[in-house]
Amino acid sequence: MSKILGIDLGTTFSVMAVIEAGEPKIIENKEGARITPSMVTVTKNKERLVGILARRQAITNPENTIFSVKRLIGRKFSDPEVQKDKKILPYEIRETADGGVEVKMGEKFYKPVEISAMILQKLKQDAEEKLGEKIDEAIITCPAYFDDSQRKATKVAGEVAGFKVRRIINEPTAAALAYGLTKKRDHQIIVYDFGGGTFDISVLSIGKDTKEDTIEVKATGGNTHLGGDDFDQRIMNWIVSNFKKDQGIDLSKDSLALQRIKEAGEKAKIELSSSLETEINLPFVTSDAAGPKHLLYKLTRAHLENMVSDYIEESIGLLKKTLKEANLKPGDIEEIVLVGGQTRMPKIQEEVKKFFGKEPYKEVNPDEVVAIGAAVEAGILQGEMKEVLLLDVTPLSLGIETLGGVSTVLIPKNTTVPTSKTQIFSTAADSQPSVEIHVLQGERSMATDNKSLGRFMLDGIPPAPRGIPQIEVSFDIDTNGILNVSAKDKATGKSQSIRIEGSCGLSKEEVEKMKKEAEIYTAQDQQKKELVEARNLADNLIYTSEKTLKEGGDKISQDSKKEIEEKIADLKKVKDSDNIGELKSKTQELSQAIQKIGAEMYKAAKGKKPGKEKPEEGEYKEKND
Amino acid sequence: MAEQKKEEEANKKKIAPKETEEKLKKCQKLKEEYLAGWQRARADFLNYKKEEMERLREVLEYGSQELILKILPVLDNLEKAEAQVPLDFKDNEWVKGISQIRSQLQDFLRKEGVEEIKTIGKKFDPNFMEVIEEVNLASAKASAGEAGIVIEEIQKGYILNGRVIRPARVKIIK
Repeated sequence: MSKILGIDLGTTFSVMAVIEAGEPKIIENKEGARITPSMVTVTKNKERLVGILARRQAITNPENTIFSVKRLIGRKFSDPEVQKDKKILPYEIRETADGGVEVKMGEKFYKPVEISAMILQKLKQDAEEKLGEKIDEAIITCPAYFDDSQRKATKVAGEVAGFKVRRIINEPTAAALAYGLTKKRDHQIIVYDFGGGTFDISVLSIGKDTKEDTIEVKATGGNTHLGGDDFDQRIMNWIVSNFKKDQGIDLSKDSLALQRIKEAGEKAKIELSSSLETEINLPFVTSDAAGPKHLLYKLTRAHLENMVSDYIEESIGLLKKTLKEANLKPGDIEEIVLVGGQTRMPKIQEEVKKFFGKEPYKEVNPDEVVAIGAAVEAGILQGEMKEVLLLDVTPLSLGIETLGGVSTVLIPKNTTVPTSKTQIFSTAADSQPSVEIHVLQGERSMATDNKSLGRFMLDGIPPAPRGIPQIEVSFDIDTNGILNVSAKDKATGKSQSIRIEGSCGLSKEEVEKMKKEAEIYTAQDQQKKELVEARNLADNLIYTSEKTLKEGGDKISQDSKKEIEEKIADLKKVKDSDNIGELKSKTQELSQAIQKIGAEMYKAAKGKKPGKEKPEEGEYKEKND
Repeated sequence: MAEQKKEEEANKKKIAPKETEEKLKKCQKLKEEYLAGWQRARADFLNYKKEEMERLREVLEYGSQELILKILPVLDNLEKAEAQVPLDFKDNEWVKGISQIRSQLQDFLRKEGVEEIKTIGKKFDPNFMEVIEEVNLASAKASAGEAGIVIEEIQKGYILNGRVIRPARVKIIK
């Protein structure tokens, strides 16, 4: 069964993805990039270049370098959009005999379909090379507002490229698919797509009986000439005008300086999505009679937001308008999906959230989410996501209770089942004859806060100092969610086990409740855990200190011995209190004191003649007996 | 009566193999389906592992790429600074020291596997270069030359382990 390629055939960039081992995955092109410029050219040597290579030579050959052809595909020449774009695009556009559009590249005229086919063909070749297998089928996305003729043209482009086009799906639907939002019934989704050159809004409606492939587009809106590039332009203008004010030099005439400014501006914009301030630093940007001139400006996030606030307001205004056309209020929308690189801007996310009063979906890379969605659709068609092969995950963590009532996780939440995990534990006291295995479920740090699934004893452990016995605890969950927990004493081979059915059988509400609780109590739980751990550490130190004194007490001075005994007593006093600071400081004090003994014992041993070492060992033995 | 019973039993026996056969067929079909699914899952896993190893190798080989791409503008600027040192400062020891720092940085990049792309005098190749400007031969410094030949480098291009990590930005003859 060969793979179906999911393709986001974009206005400026195209992206492709496939399903691999049940998961959607972006395929890199031959040049090693995850996105491919939707650009085609015929060079002066009659060589055809597609993608980044076409872009690299665009300046020398603007009239033969075709980009944004998606704006023309499937349209009539008389279409006002075409007339508008004709004024902006640098290549020749003319009317065909049947009223369609043709663009000139090299000495020939091509239909937009043919240009798109060249882009798709490159993607096909690159994907085949990357995956090492032939790919014959594809799912291609298009904007929700594309009419029948534009959709048909997109399909034909795919066929010309050598694909069997299984489906043309809407970009917003693909984005919703990527988040798995189309499985729910009877709800409305808004897709807010702010790309490099276009801004699209789509309202999707999934009815009670809607099938996956018949998701209704209730309304579309946006501005086909508003995008992230406009934001970059604003930053550029700001830099240029600042420099003119400060240095009296107009950089807008200097194409080389402009190039550097454009890049620096874009970089600043990207940085300001994650930091509050950035530096635009261009030394030797130009020079005059007085010598070289440098450019150095600080740009804050707030300033950038201010600079482009009208664009963001426009987008929210369009959102309102589109909702109104769909006869919906912001409150009617269940889910909001963000698409397009510009939606990484925190201000945009904030405004969208404010408008709907809901957190939008934004976790999937907004440049890739449409291609990912197309691959998900491909996966459904391929049947890769077959019911039998749908593997469950553990909704909550599973573990056991350990010293001090701490919940120790063996199988973390979201682990795919069937799975098993084994870990070695030990005893907490000298000559402890048995251990209790208390099986827990939940995300909280303390055992008492989690759900108890069952418990059992493993006894008959031979007497040994604490920490010596090795108790192997195994967790095994099968596909039906049945959990088997067993404990085995490695010394005797004795084992006990328990079978817990329905360990995953919590209702969705219960799981959500437990997860929420864990989130709320994270800090508190962490404190509790820290206290228990500090207490365990103190306990351990008291134990080893007492043992050291007992075994080597005669080799150290009475003063040291007394000091340690006092420190042990001090620590014992605070051991059960809740004062973690005191507990830690007393532990530290004892730890330092006991280290001193080590040094003293070592010195004592060194002071003696080598020959005397043997009897010493004998003494040691005697004492032990 | 007894004969009738016998006959019924005989019939049952006759039907039974048929039912069993159907059941067996169903089981066999399921078995094949499951085995195929299992094999596929196993193969997917093995392939995934191989791909991960390949990815890991790539990460190791190109892992430094992001960092290098961020360091390159610093080198660009150092080179720009050097190119614009006023004539009477050319032999200044302090200026020489800065040049030495530049060559230290270049040396570091070379050791990391970064190679400069040679451009001047070569024919424009979009695999390694990006055109910034076309220059009319009349105004060009070069005395003679063919169209498409690089006459000036605006920004150096670099290759890391055989992959272009940044194309060179060049001016070419029109």
